[in-house]
Amino acid sequence: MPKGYLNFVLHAHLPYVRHPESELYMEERWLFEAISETYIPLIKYFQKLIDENIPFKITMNISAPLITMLQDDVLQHRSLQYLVERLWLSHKEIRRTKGHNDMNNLAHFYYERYKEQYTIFKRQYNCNLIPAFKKFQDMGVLEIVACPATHGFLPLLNVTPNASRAQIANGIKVYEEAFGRHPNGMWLSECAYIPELEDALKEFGIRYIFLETHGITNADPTPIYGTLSPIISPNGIAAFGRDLKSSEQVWSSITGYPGHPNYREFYKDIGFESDWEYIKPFVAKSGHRVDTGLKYHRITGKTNNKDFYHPDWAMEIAEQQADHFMYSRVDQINQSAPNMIIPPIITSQYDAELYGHWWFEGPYWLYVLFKKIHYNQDTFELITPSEYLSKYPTIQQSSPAISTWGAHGYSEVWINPGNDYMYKHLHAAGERMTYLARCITQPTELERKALNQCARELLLAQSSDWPFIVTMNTMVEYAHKRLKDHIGRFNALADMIDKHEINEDYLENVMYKDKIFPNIDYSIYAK
Amino acid sequence: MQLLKSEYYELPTKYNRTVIRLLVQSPTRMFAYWEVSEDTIKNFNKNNPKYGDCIAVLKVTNLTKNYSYNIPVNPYADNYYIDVDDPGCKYQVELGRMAKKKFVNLYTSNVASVPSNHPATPLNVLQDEILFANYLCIGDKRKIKLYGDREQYKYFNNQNHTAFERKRFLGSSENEFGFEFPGSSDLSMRLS
Repeated sequence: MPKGYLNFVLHAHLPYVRHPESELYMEERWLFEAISETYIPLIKYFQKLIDENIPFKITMNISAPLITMLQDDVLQHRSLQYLVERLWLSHKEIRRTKGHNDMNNLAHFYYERYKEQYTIFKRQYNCNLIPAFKKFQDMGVLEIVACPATHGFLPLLNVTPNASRAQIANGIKVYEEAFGRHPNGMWLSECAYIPELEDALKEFGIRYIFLETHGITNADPTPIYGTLSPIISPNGIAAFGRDLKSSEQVWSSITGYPGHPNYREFYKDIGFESDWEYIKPFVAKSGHRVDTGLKYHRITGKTNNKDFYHPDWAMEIAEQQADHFMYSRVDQINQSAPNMIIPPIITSQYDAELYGHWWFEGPYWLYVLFKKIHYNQDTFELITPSEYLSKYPTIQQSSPAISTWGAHGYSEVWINPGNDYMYKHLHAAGERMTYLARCITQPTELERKALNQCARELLLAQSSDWPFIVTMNTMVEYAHKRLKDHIGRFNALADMIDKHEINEDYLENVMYKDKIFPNIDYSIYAK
Repeated sequence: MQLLKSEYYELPTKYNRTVIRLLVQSPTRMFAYWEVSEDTIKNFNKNNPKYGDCIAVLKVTNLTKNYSYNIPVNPYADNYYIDVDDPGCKYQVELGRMAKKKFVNLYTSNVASVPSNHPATPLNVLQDEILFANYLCIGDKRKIKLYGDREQYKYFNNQNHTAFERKRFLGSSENEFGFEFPGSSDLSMRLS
């Protein structure tokens, strides 16, 4: 009988970026890189654990835009092309680096890596990774939770409650279509919680959510076990809070595992360092130098002179750090369990893309951690939220506190002088959508198509990624453009509906470009 | 179908309506934006001095503690960040103009709940009995008496509440995120 549990949660989300009209958008590479560096490695190691008969449990959120993109023909084709190009580049690198032992070994390492990725992506899953995740969920090792439709930041959309309700409903719909079951849990975008969301969560059958630490520690009344137990709101929604100790070990900028000198250096990539003519076919089609995924150096230390990367050294460190993480949890549980009437549960939640993309060795670390948890200790077990709640259903009643997992714990990232202008347009479109849905109850087929597309454009405009990108000052122009495009398309279609002059060519074009939520029903906004 | 390669949209500057919306940024700051329609201005001018000659005011009301105060704002502004003193309270804002020293309401905002920034119950006055509910059967609730030294519960809540800055996927650089993998700082030049 374990004394406690570890609830390991990965949040996988990318904004909906799909440009069938052009291959020049560098932002599509976010998906290709995440497939290659995070999703395929996770699938590979989940499968390896199963093949080795290691029992494990993990929870993932796969957001609706990500589900849609992973299932999309255009993006699947381009993702495959991306992998084939990496394979070709690593093959060329084997020849180019001949005579340089360290680099040549790494070129072979990458060639084998991309060959394996090609096999998993193309041969095993026919370019669609959703069935892979579904398979693990059906086997009972993975619990997938839903997410609001376009990862909308609900506290700031809830001025028009229909807007957040539609985000929740459509997120669940995409989930059900992809995974063939109803989700028990929901990852609220950015862990952003306000009590007003509970009615919609309850209406659509969501039983638990995840919160940032202070969503639990500031709850009312104060939860006696902090984040080491879920709480249940008076509405019956359970909430798990992020454990700070385990988060810090991975996220911390000072002591976090990913910063070890033997790990691969993210910021030195041959995309920026090779001769232009040589590297041109492998970087962005727009002609910009970007990361290729082939990196030859390790972090080394705070120096510009980076040493070569040695995968076996990195693996050794990952194994040591997995030990450290595991024994830290053993200590945590040994200290807390005697004082609790139910076994403690440590909820460790991370962005999935940290594993593999930012922290190259992350997926391997996870694999080793799960093996060690099985073989090297018996203090705690891995568990999913649904299983924990079924085993220990009696939990403290408390109302979670308003919170997010953004910087400073509230909404500053998503509303500040750089992005606050967005909300006027999002709210106006939300209200107009509600008005249209209430007025047009018996649409013609063409009106229905246009209204459904209006709903898609509204949801896409509401993505939390646009204000986030503006605050982070990264692809700012792209974020502004996306907001303008979706609000612009929404207003253009709504004007056509108002005037009974729907331009079918325009509608078809927009439907092809923003091809998300195939079975959306605009009448959700009528309530 | 011929794909439209270039589309260009501008956001509307106005929606021709009178409205004020209140959004919460943090336990101590809210954001309000507003718009006043031509019709509202015409109506105002019928019964008051000229709209443009009256001072624009936001009347902030703390609904929880039942007090209000006025903030004069630039007559041409259409948004404002409002600093508040009382986290954990509900607020509402009225948009108006001062006409002959009298506040004339143009529109009233939604109610906004500003979060609390501290634990609800001081840990040294934890209740003797804690209410537990059954996840599988919501109606099943019972009070459970705490046992042992009450100090032990401080262990569970004695945590640093600061949220960590997390690195995100969307083309980040270490400086912008406050999250640095050791050894990567030398590349900030390239990213800038």
